[in-house]
Amino acid sequence: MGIRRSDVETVAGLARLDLEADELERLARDCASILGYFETVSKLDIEEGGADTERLATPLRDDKVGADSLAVEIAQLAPKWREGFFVLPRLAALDAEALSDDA
Amino acid sequence: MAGPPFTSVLELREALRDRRLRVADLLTSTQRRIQESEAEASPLNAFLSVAGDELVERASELDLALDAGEDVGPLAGIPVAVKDNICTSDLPTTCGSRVLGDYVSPYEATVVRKLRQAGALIVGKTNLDEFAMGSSTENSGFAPTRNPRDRRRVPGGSSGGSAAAVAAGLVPLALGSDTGGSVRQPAAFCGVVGLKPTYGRVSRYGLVAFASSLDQIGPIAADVRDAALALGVIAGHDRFDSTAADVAVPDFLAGLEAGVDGLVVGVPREYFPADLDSSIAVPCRAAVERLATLGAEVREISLPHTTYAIPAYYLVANAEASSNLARYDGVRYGLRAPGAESTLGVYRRTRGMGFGAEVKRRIMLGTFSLSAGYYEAYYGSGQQVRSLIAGDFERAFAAGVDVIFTPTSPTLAFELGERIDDPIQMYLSDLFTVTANLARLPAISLPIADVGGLPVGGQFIAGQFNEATMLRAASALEGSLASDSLPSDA
Repeated sequence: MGIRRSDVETVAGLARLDLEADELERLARDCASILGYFETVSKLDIEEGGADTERLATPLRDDKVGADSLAVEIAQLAPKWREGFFVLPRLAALDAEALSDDA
Repeated sequence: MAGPPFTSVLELREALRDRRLRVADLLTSTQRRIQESEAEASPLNAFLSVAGDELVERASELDLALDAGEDVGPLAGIPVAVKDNICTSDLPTTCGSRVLGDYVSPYEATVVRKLRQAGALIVGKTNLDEFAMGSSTENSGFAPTRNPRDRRRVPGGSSGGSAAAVAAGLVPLALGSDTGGSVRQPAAFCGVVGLKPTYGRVSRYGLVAFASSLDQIGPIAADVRDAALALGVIAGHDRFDSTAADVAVPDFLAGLEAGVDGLVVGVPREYFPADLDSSIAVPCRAAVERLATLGAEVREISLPHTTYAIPAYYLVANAEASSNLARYDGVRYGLRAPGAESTLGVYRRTRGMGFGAEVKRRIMLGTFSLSAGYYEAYYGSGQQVRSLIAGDFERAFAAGVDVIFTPTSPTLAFELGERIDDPIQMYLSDLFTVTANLARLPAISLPIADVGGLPVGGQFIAGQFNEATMLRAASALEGSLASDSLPSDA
């Protein structure tokens, strides 16, 4: 299948990936050849084959509220934790004044 | 480098229990041997981190308990290596990726907890293809692992570090993870035993997710008996993983010597194509004949959708990977790229800087196949074909087949750099292994021959949760091959 550089740029945006120009070129080529190869599955008559994705359904635990659903306290998982909240690093777009120096 | 101080976990365990060997001495020699393997002219690069003095106290405790004749677990004092995508709280968990850097998990994987409870010493974390995406360990963000049998060649992947560590005699046991063959193919390339359990047999809690519906943790060992022992330690239900099945764990060692007399061994014609490399085909056919000699009923079968396994696998795995790897955004883990001017910029720049080429390729392919307008044609079709492949196996087992025998890999270990620039050729390395993951079946690879100094792996696949029969067949073939010398230059 044909994949344009602009398609790769769009998908990279969805995937939140910054790519260099040479990476974009290479990925356009790779994605075209690999997705072309993957299209062999479209030759298969899935209806006639009796496909049934239910046979591979993911087992889920019962949806019951329990007292302790984690192996450890959630605060122990946080690099920084204050007053019941995760403290996140300061990100560029946010107003530095709005966050404490802890972040 | 001197030869290993053991041939198997069970032999080592006996020496420790008889006090012919002390845990502290075994630990010291293991750590020294790992360091030596990394300091050689062509370093093995099997380990990404190695535990230091923190294990000394534990080794002393185990020695005291063993001196007193206490039962301190089935792996008491045994050095074990763990693939670096399995969380440990005392060593970093990098997944072989720059994006995680020196990340240390605040909690431990269930399998690590079980190993420690069984008395094992986790001596280090092993190298892998970044986020377990690869078939050669060349995609490690740090350095490619080399094959101990021929250091110009790859050890396979993605659990190449674990397989190389066992094959080089650095540790008698290691854990890997297997999403499409990542335990079995490196085991075949390095000449050791690699076991992928049934999906749900072993908890994935603490295994960093690649493709959640396919991932499974499994042992790599020197022989089938050690793999069976290790499986018994790590298997079982876990409330922290809803996909860990609540089914009984049998004693996998109990029926190991029962032989194959009366077992029906299916040999699928699709795994022995006319153009299969003779270095693989000849020893695998000889192994089939050997199974017949041992009393098995060999039956040719057909698994007709095998042709579509590679595209189906990569469609499903990449889609799941693109979703699972969305969490590496520079905020919660490891690397954070400097200089971004917006929140989105932090995400994009961190991911662009932190991920390697193959991970980016798979994220792109997965995002593409999940995107609007393509979902049904790609991801949806992949899931449908997956169910057809599972149906092929169901029919074979329903028709009376007990285990299926195939080659593990279509080739011998290839040279470093030989396939790294050809992703489709690299993906085809997984041709015979991805089907067990797609159908959620247990499978094991064991060495069946040497060709030109390189090992050939044979694979048994069994029905869901029927690891016991699979291990029984593998043990019988292993024992028979060991009773004469391995066939060479077939």
